[in-house]
Order: sequence, then C-alpha cells, then structure tokens
Amino acid sequence: MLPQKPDNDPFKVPAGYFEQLQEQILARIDETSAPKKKPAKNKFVMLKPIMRYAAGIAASVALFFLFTQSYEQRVAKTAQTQTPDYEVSSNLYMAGMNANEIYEYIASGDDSSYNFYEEN
Amino acid sequence: MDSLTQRLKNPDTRREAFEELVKTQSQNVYRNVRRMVYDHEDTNDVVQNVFLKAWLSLDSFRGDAQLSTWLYRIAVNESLTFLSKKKKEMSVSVDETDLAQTLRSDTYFDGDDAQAKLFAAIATLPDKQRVVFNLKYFEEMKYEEMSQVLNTSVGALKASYHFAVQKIEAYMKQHE
Repeated sequence: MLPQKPDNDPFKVPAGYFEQLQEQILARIDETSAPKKKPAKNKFVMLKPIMRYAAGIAASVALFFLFTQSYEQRVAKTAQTQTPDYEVSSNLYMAGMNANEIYEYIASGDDSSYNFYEEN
Repeated sequence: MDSLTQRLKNPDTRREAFEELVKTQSQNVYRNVRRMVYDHEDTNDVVQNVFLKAWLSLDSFRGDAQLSTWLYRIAVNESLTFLSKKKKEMSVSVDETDLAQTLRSDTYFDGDDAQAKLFAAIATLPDKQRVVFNLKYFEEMKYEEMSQVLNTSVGALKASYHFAVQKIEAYMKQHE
C-alpha cells in the first residue's frame, strides 16, 4: 500500500528564508528592468512599410528633380543656341519676305527652321 | 481575468502586482520544486529562475489559465530542465538507498525513515511521471488542471499516476 500522505512537509528551509528569497527575486527582476519585449524587432518591422513609403517618395522627388533639371538644361541650351531676332529678320528679308510677314513670323516664335547655329 | 492578472498586464502596475505574486506564490513554487530536486540550494536557484522566467514572459500570459497553473507549468519545466542538466553532469547515478540516507542526514529534512524511503522511491520514477505523482499525491491537483499544466490528456495522466503508485508500492515492499 502507498503510505499515507505526510501531515507536515518534511522539507524545511532556513529561518527567514522566504523573505530573503522574495527580495532576491525582486532584485533580479529589477536588474532586468523590464519584461523582455520583442519591440526592438517589432519597431523595425513596424517601420519597414513607413521606410518603404519614404524611399518611394524620395525616389519620386529625385526623379522629378532629375527630369525637371534636364528639361531646364535643354531649354537653357536651346536658348543659348537660339538665333537672334535681327539675324532671323535679315535672313527672311534676304529670302524675299516683306516686313509684315517677317514680324508675324517672329511673333509666332517658330524659328526652328532658322536655327543656323544648330544646323550650320 | 482576475484583478492581479489585470494589474500584471498593465505596465504601470506590473511591478507592484508581480511583487504580490512573488509573496503569495513563492512558497507554493518552492514546495513543488523542492519535491522534484530535493536539495535546498538547488531549489533556491530553480525557484529564482521560475519567477524570472515568469516576469520575462508576462506578455505571453494570455490569462486563459489561472496564474497558479501558469506558474506550476513554468516550475515543472524549470525543474525538469535542471534535473536533465544535473543527470548529464553526474557520470554515476545516485543510488536510491543513498538518497534516503542523504535525506535523513539533511539539515533541512525532518521527515522520519518512512518519509525518507517514500521520497527515495519517488526518485526512482522517470522525471515526468514524478511530476504527475507529486501533483496528484501531494498537491491533490485535479486531473483536468494537471492536464493544463502538463499539456497531457487526462487519460494519459491517470495511467501515469496508476503506474507510478504501483512502482512506489513495489519499491516500499522491497525495502521493508
């Protein structure tokens, strides 16, 4: 037969042990400061989509500036190579156009066919 | 979810609530661990680890089970881990007769010869079966709660306890 369950716990502890144990446990807990969180990883995971959006916006802005700059450069280059009005009028006069026709042509701004600096 | 569990879940009241948990549960946890590892100093180390683990894993405690059940589970796992490490460290297993003798000469053991023999008999059980026996025999824990602590079916626990009793009875008869 199984012996009857002991009335008293035969395992004893030194006097004042449990008070000391509680202090030791709480001291160890305070050393660890806070429950182990996974936030370090979680924060990063949470930041990931934000970082993705930020990278997307940055790329868009960079492309915008790159495109705008190259467009401005092209305009500036065209401006530099644009034929002065007096040369255009002189050439048109030489081509047989009268003053009114020359004025209308210059006012329209289409001088591409007279861009001698580009073509010649 | 009881009041203490709610305070443990709240970061603002967590530390204070945990202090209360340590004060109310440290003796229970100590008693259970001591019945597994026997030696007072070893028990002291394991109990501290149990509460440290509990503190560090508070966020994972969902409050489905009782706090005491959750602590039992941690205590059982820590005790089993300790015993496993100790067995690996010791090249020769301790004879049960020597264990009864060791207990009798232990300053922090004041049981009689029959009790020393009983604990020596319990020490012959496989570690997990020892847990089942201790929780049923000493703590009088219901199989349903034990099932939560050990994550084992009630049927398996009943069978395990039945065989544990048979082994202990055979040991006691043999060492009369």
